[in-house]
Amino acid sequence: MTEKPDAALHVAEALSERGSPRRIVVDGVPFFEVYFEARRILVCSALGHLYVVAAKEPRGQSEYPVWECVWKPKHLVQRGQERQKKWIQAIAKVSQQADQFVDACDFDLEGSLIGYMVLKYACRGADKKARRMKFSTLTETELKQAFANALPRLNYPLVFAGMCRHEVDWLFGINLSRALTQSALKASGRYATLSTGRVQGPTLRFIVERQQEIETFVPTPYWVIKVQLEVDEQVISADYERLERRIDATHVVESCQGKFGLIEALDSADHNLAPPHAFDLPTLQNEAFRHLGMTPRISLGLAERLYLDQLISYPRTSSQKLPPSIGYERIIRNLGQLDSYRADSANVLSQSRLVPIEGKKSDPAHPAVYPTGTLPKRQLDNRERKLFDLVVRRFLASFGRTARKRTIEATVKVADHRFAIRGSRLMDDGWTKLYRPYAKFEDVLLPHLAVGQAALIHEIKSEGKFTQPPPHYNPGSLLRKMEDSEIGTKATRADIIDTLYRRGYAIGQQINSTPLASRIIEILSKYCPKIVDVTFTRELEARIEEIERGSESGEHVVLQTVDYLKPIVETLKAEEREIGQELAVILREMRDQSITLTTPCPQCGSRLMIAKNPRTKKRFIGCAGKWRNNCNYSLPLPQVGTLTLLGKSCAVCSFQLIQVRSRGRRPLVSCSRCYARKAVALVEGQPVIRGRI
Amino acid sequence: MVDDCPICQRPNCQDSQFCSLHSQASKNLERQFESWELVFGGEIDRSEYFRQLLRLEETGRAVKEVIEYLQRSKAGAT
Repeated sequence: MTEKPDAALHVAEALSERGSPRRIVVDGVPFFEVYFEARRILVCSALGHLYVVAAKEPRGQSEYPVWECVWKPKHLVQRGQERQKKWIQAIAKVSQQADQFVDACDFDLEGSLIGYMVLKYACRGADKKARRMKFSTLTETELKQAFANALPRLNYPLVFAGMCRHEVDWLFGINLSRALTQSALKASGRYATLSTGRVQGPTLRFIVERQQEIETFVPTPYWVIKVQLEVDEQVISADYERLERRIDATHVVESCQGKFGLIEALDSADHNLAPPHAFDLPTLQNEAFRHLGMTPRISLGLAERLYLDQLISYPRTSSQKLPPSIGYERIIRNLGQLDSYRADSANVLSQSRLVPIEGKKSDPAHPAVYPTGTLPKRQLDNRERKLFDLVVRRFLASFGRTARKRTIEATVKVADHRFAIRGSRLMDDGWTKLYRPYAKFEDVLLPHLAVGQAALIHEIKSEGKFTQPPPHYNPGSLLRKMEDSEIGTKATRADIIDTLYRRGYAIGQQINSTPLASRIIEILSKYCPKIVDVTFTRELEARIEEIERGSESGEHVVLQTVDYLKPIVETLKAEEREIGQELAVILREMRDQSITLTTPCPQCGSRLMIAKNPRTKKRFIGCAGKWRNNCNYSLPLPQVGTLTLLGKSCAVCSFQLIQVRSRGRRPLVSCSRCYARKAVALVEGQPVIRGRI
Repeated sequence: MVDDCPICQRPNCQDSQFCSLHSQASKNLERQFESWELVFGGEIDRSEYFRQLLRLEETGRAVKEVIEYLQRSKAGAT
């Protein structure tokens, strides 16, 4: 049993000794029948998690606190899971004929848990006799080896660690999120999903605190001296130390203007630039954001697709190491069959020894992310191709030679002031050639310089500058902050960042926290500061790692979590009324903002708002001046989909643009005023106004 | 008695007429004035300091709101 259907097909193809696997459909669920060493094997898959944590005694969605949980089939807990129900039933039916079970889910915490749950519950205790395949790529060779050398039993410490993580996160999420949601609902009468969690709370705090730093930032002035020196008939830039006072800057400029100086000292040094190590997941996500603009969630999704296509190894890894067993030469030689890597592959293979640079981090289950050497069998889309290229070039670069950069610094003394001329040059491009366009070094070339050489001040001026506020987090830097703070896991961090956007706590690529996020953090800091403190979460991550190593018990950690959470949730429950009132104010403000247009009414200048006709239930843009001055201005709106007022205006009429999102469709951006004019024009037989938006 | 912040009407924090955000902005404003005085050799007064900060895009939103509030209050008092 694999984790996903695509992986099941690859496992079946790898094991089949009699041509292509036979696809058998049992109650709508595909299985693959193959023969391996004369044994009949049925390969099936889960659909990710088929079993989830749920309240032991369901008491309704709004009830909290909840302290007892059990594992249940997903379709019994969440709506719209009919496919998952069918899947469990089909696996249960087929498993009755099986005499042996092999778990081929991804070899990590989530994969081990998925396999264990299906084997234990759907296959009625088959977890006890199941063997465990361990592999990092879906290539035929590795899958065959993993099947032949399957571990005699499941990795139970990994399973228990996974169970513990899910149970602890469920206890946090269900109790705290319900406390916030119910408080707001009771105070405002409106339902809004408000959530927080063990990792989400501290992560949200990072962005709120950064936002506050930016909003309360007071810049201070400083001065820089911009100097152009003429040396050896060539004009070059030089630096002067940063000055705090304007008077000092003025003094430097006045005393050096038009004067000659001499090169007083000259230093040159060569620096070795070591090749980068192959990617672990966080580094891959960071580089994908930096060079390709992909959010961590998108790069992880694309990497998983490339893994399922057998193109790269398992991406959810912490390892920065590449063991020789992956077959360096074979992979590099195969990559050389692609035009884009032919020259670089030959370059690497021409080296006398193939030894990749490795980072410090390791992962007991998987090596670093590397290309398998399998060539794409289908046309990769643009983003898949870009990510694949990044992984391949990083892999090749890790085998590259050390690059060497030479830096030169000359000190020029002019009227008791010292200026620095700095230059740099890549003397040996080494691995940087293999990691282009992602490795960029720009040479700063200098003319020939010598001590005692004359330098004329060609131009000198002082320039006032101001200190800058800290930058907003972006998805890449927030991911790095989570990693540095040791909260979340490589597999969950991207999803947590995504949740912050979905809940309306964060907006923009340069992450701005919303007023709702600030209020949530304020409330949690006031009533239960431990929830937004990284300490507990970090400690818990360490305890879960101990469970993985077999030195801690999952039940013990869950019980301690309950003890930890109980007083916090009791406080929240007791303060529900006050918390609700605080949340209701901000939710009302946010709702007003989300339905009020920035464009005023063209007839009376009042606010335009999205409204609903109480009789027909149709939505439209109406004028708030209706009650004050009987203004009847209105515009039509699409009736299906979620509306968002955009911060952009129509290029034709400057009216605020509106985005409509419907399930399964591309978001549509439209101008209601142009749309209305077009409709009117069509009715009256006038020429249609075509506006480019 | 708990008053509201005169800028955003949120509850003010202890020892301040402002909420926590505007209180922090106000503290930063006060603290950095000393740096500005040093930078300009004492040749800057508070109104010029405020004027400069209001035109700078680096200045935080909450700081600008505090300045505007202080300017309004001063104008109201005179």
